[in-house]
Amino acid sequence: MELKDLAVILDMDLISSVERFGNNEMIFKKFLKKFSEDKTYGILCEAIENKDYENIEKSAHTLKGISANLGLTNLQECSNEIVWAVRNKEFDNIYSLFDNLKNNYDIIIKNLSELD
Amino acid sequence: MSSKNKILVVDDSQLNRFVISEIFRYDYTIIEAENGKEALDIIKKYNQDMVAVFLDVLMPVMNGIEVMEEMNKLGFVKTIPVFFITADDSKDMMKKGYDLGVVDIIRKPITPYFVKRRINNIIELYSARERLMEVVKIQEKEIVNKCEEIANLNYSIIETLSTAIEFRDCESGEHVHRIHDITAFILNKINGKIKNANFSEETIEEIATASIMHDVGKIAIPDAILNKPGKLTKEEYDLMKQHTIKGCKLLERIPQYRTHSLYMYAYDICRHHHERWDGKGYPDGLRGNQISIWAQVVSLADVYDALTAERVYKKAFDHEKAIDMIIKGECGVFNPEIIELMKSFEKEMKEKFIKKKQNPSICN
Repeated sequence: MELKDLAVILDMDLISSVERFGNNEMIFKKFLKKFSEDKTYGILCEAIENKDYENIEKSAHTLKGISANLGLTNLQECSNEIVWAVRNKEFDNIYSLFDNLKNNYDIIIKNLSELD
Repeated sequence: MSSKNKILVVDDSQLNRFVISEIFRYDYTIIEAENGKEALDIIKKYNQDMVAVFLDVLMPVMNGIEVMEEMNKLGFVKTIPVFFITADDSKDMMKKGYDLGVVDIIRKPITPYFVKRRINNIIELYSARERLMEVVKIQEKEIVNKCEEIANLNYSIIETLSTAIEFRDCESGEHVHRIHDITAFILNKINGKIKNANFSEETIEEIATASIMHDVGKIAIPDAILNKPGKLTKEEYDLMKQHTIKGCKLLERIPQYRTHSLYMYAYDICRHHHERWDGKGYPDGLRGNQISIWAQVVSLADVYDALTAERVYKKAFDHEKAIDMIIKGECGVFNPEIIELMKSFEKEMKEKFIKKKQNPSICN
């Protein structure tokens, strides 16, 4: 799969995302692929399981920053919703928000693995 | 080229560090740190060379807020612009950042073009400010030097004039130095110990400088009277007494210094250094504390110096005799509180002002 196809599937703003990496598509791709190895998502899952709200907020916040810089707008949005759910103490909402995030994350990982 | 070209990028995510570093890679030397503690060590080491710090807020080990608190303690916040980079959009966090002295907050995802423009503007501003501070520092130093020069010049002009007048009086320039030193000495000894005597160090020096002008009025007294070896007639003495008033008239001719405190002291001392505590002095017959403390001190210093020095009309008395005469009121009555204090410091006066051999009078 080419980068521009991935951008369509994941609803990314490709131009401003690549710009963040010195307009170098190679480097951008390198970091996108690295995202699959990033530990933040794993930490979030563990925190959700343990109902560890402090770490849910922290890791969702970190995930938000990383996905924002990579141009993964949907994931950024899902992470943001979880951050604010914890801050507003809407703890019951967190799990459905996390399901939503998980769906998004899985789509990203699946498609990234097909990237050339 | 200056080595002040380092930018520190602090974020626990390599990706986020890369995105910021990429913007400045070509213009600056980039240093990266993974957490606040690492960042702080680097800032301590390179603060002189640092033009900006990009600081993630949420980090392991030490977060951005804690780094800012430390930087405030170490005083780096004023010299190094710090930018928060954060995905957080809460007002609380932003307010906290700004309150801690963060220059600006950059939100993720970042837009390289805008970040570059904003940061370069700030870096420019900081370095311009630093250059200006440098210039101000140099100028401040120059002003202090000039002030000192002017004060010294001022003093030496006063000293020269006063010495010229003493020459006519057949004294050497020694009297001018001595009246200055004895006045300062007595003022320091009575300072804070009696009513109306609370002077700063600067004021004491000012009064001492003013004291050397106490006899400027003698320039208007004819030589025949000034240098008469024998006793003056009543008429001659009346004329002699005029030197106090004539001194003031002379000082009145320098209008630009009238508001200066040195002038105020000089004027008062000129006029009143022959007044006495019991009202029997001249020219105004003031009594007690109607006479300013500085005029009282200068008259005491003047009498002590006159007694212990040789004059055309008399030999020098030794220190003990002079003090005895002053205490007994043989040269007029002085403030009893000052006399009482003088008993405790007169030995020191002897050590300081008598051990030097008197210069012989130039008329002999």
